[in-house]
Amino acid sequence: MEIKVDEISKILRQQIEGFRGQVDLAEVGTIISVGDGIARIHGLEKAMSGELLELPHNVMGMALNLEEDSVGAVLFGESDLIKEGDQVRRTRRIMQVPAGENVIGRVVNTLGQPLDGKGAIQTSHFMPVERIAPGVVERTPVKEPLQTGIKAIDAMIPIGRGQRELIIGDRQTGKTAIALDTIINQKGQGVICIYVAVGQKQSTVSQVVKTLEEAGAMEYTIVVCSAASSPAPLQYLAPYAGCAMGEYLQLHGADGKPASKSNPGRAVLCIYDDLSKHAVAYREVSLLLRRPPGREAYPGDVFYLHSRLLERASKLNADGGGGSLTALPIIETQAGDISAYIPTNVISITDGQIFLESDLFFSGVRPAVNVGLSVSRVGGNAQIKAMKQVAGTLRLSMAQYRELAAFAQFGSDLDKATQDQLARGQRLVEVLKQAQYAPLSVERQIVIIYAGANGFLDDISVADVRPFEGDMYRYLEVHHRDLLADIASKKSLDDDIKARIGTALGAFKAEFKAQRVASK
Amino acid sequence: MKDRKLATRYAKALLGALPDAAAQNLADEFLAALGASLKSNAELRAFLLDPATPAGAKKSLLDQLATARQVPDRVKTFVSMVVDNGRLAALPSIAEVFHQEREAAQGQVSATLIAATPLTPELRARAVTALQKLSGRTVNLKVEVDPGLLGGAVAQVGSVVYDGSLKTQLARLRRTMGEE
Repeated sequence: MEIKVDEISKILRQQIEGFRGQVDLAEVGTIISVGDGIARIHGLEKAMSGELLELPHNVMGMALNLEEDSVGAVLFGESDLIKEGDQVRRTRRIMQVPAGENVIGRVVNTLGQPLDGKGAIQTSHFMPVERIAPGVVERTPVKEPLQTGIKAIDAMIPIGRGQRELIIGDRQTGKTAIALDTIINQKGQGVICIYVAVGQKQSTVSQVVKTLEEAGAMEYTIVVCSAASSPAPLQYLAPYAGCAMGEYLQLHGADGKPASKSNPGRAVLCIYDDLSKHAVAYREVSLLLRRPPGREAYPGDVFYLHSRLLERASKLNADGGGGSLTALPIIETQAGDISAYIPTNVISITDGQIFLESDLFFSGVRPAVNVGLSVSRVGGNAQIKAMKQVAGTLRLSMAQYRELAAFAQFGSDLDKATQDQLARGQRLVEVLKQAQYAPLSVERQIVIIYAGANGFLDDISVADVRPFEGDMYRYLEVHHRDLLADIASKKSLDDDIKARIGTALGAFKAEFKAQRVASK
Repeated sequence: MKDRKLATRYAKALLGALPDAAAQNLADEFLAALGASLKSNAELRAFLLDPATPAGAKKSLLDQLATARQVPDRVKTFVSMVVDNGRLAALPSIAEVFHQEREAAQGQVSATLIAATPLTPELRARAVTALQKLSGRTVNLKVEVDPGLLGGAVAQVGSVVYDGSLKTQLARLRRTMGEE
């Protein structure tokens, strides 16, 4: 096969002949002033709020302030090349990001451009970044569980698909670790995860990506990265971009066609890490646009900023394909102060919060979940029945234990009943401890919580509880596979299963105790 | 350009104070001339913008200039008010905004036509008719020549640009062929 030069020139000639000269119509404005990634533009009378603008040197902008005789716009990209007097054109488009199957497994920036060096993203699907949340009619109550694989959370603060659950705590309390564990636990569950990093160090983000890759979780994850070095407008838009990518998957079936009754939409999990930095980025943009500052210098619409983002989390009804978008926003508090401006805002928007405490973290309770302050307002409906059965009394026992523990510090003469309750509580605290990146399946969680709550651990020393737990999983895996399978399939504990758990635990405990004696 | 809001306020006030189109046109011409010389003439600028110059001296100079051009009295009053308020530095932008506001009030619009080659009077007339049809207003056309366009012309009326230049078409052709 040889391609002749004639052929090529013929094709080119055809193209040139087919080209029609047209008059290019555009609406333009002129830059009055530019700086700090913000431009004020004269003209553009008809520009819409949120419209994309085209500037010289391939820089794009977004109109945010429409004033009497000027337009305030944020610039994306190399804004230092732009100067006063440059021409700005309207595009009549609003900002959108690439979405679809080919974005999964990639690390992208706010504009959807790849950052992972794996080549261009081949997709013809786009989603607008700002989108109105699904209405009342299109939704259905949250009822399917989203297992995080973390005992303390799945048992006491359960999360359902379509829920918004806030993860809140000081720095270094394991907020991101919970989010990552949750992503890792979605392997094989058909949930697509989106991790949005706002204003974080590039090194932290690359660590996250590496962790996910090692756990084999990048295959079903999209990482949207807007690092600390990227301009504030891009940081401000990153969560919306991540949400838009998620919404596309939620609204489309696996075949790429719009979801319907017969073509189910996907379940998506969106993690916004973190919204405190997001609010700071938005504050920067707002102040530069000369919008009036309010409390803590945040603009007046900082509540709307987060509410319109989190409102996009939803569980759609069957007609809409039943897809879901679960949101796990993260907020970093300063010295445990959850009554600051942004934390109270986001707490009031979400359907509950997981509160992490440094004191617990340093005393070895990891994950450092404060069981008293953490709640899930809707997740209970999504919990499977078996978990409800074993966890029902757990919350109460923990609360009683904390009260007694505080009281018991004053004296040592305690009656037998109190001592027993303290002993039970100490063992339950041990049971709820868990290593990082080691999510547990729900049936294993049920067995160990059943053991703790029903006194099977009372005669095991506190230090031995965690070794007991590890050995027990191995023992059950070898001798009682069918029991675990039955719990997973029946999803509730009937008398037969309870009896079988009892026998299995009894037999294993005898073995475990014998081993301990032998090793001493 | 930064003091546009201020300029708009002054320009609209003056426009409202002038009774008819003839007076408005005279005022426009005078302000444009004054604004231009204030920009180009360093001596005039030094004299008028120096805070040490007594206001009376500034006023009398401007008054004489205005009388020589038979400008309506209202404009003289306006200029002395600008001096009193210490806004002489904003005069060029006031003149610019006044020009736009006057045109808008009289149903006119400024347009710029950049052509690759100088226009014949006949072609110019055709361009004016075409632009008046498009904008629905009387067009005050300013013609510039830029050989860089290669051929055709670019017209701007208000904030709308009609780009029929060969340069843009070639750029578009390059894009189409590059993409395919």
